[in-house]
Amino acid sequence: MRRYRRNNPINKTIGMTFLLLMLALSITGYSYSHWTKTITIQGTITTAKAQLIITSHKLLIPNIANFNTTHQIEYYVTSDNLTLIADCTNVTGTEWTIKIGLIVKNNGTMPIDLTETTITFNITTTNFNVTTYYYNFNSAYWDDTLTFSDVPPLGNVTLPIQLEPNDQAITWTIINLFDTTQIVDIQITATPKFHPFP
Amino acid sequence: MKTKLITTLILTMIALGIIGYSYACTNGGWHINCYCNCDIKFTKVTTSDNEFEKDVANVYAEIVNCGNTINAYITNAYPCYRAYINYTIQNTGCKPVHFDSVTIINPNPEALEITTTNHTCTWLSSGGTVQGTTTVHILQPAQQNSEYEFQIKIGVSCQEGNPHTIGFWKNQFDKALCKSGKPQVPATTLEQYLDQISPQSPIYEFTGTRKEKFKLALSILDPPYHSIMEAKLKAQLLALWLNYVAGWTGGYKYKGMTAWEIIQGSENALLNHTGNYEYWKNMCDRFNNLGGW
Repeated sequence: MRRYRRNNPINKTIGMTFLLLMLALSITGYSYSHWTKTITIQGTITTAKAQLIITSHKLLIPNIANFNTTHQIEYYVTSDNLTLIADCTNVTGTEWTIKIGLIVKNNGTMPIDLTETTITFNITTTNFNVTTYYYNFNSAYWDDTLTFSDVPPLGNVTLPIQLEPNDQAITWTIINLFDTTQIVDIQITATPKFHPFP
Repeated sequence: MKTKLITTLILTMIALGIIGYSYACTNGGWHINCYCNCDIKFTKVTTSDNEFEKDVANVYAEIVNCGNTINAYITNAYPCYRAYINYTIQNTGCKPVHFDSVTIINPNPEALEITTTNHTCTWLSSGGTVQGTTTVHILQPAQQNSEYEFQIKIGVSCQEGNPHTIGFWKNQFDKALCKSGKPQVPATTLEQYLDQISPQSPIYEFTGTRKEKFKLALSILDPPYHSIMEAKLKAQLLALWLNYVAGWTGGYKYKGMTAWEIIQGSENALLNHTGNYEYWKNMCDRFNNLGGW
């Protein structure tokens, strides 16, 4: 009788279930008893944008009869508003002078220093005198009544000009041809440059 | 049928008993105290940065998730900008906790340099606080108008053991020397403890057979009632040594002193015969009682 009871499948099932239960609970208890915890520092960083763009531009030519037809100039600002390009034809004669005016704006989220307006030519040449004047933003330096002979207006400042976000500045660059040797067509680019501040 | 019912009932009772024991283990051994737990939290966070001339970037941090997380936000950052996140961690449980790891997860090391206080392998006593600083340095290659993230994970665990009294240790050696009852610390472990103490301490030297070592330990732990203070100090100091090598003193302090500092002070007193034995005896005694055993 005793032997029969020992081999009873129901007793075996109960025994197995109990053992498994005990094992599972022991593991749970052991794990829980070894308390561990992780605390976290999580950071999100967004970086600033530093950008100087051209918001307005002018190209003045000498008040000489037929200068515009004799020395045709097409100019435009690139779609990213970073550079003015002037395509000049028949660049000859000592009277050939242009004056490029730019209003530049700090279009970023951090202060920047306007450091220069870079003038480059699409050919290697030393035939031009290039002088740039820099101004804190004031309509007096940009007025529509400003003529070729009025540029550069008085009031220019020394570089760098510090620009807070959305601040503007004005630059006038005078490009004068002093040696006419072999110059016919030329492309001139004007690009305002900056350094992030600080 | 009746037998089956009784069997099932007994098994259920045993299972419930195991659950209870498992829960009790959370608080250390057989000592069941449902109000004693282990926990730490961030309790304070402040921020600063390296901008003095002009305030361009901003750093802000807040404690969230019931003190388990600090969220830090740095906006309008630029190369060379450094943000400092100063935090305080408090042990809000009733047991010392051990700092197991400090892991910095920085997916953009070319753009961010993250440094933080390394708490690893240090203890924080119950109620105690510890300060730390995380520094975020924006590097030159960081892209403008971009977003970066980092994480610092500080892993801690609970001190499972407590300092035990001189009486506890006497009892262990008593039982190990074939007195009635089963020791809570196995004889092999006790011998290992004595073997660890001998080379480290200039006061004690346990040699010979296990029985000889145990007899010597017991005679030190149980000096005659009217013995001199030096013997009483040696008794409490040995109990403290046993707690120390058992790993049950980590994170505990008495009057600002760790177990190791009290051991050093006591041994210096004994070696140099400074005479302030009672002070050090009391220090050892109080420390051994910190666990309440």
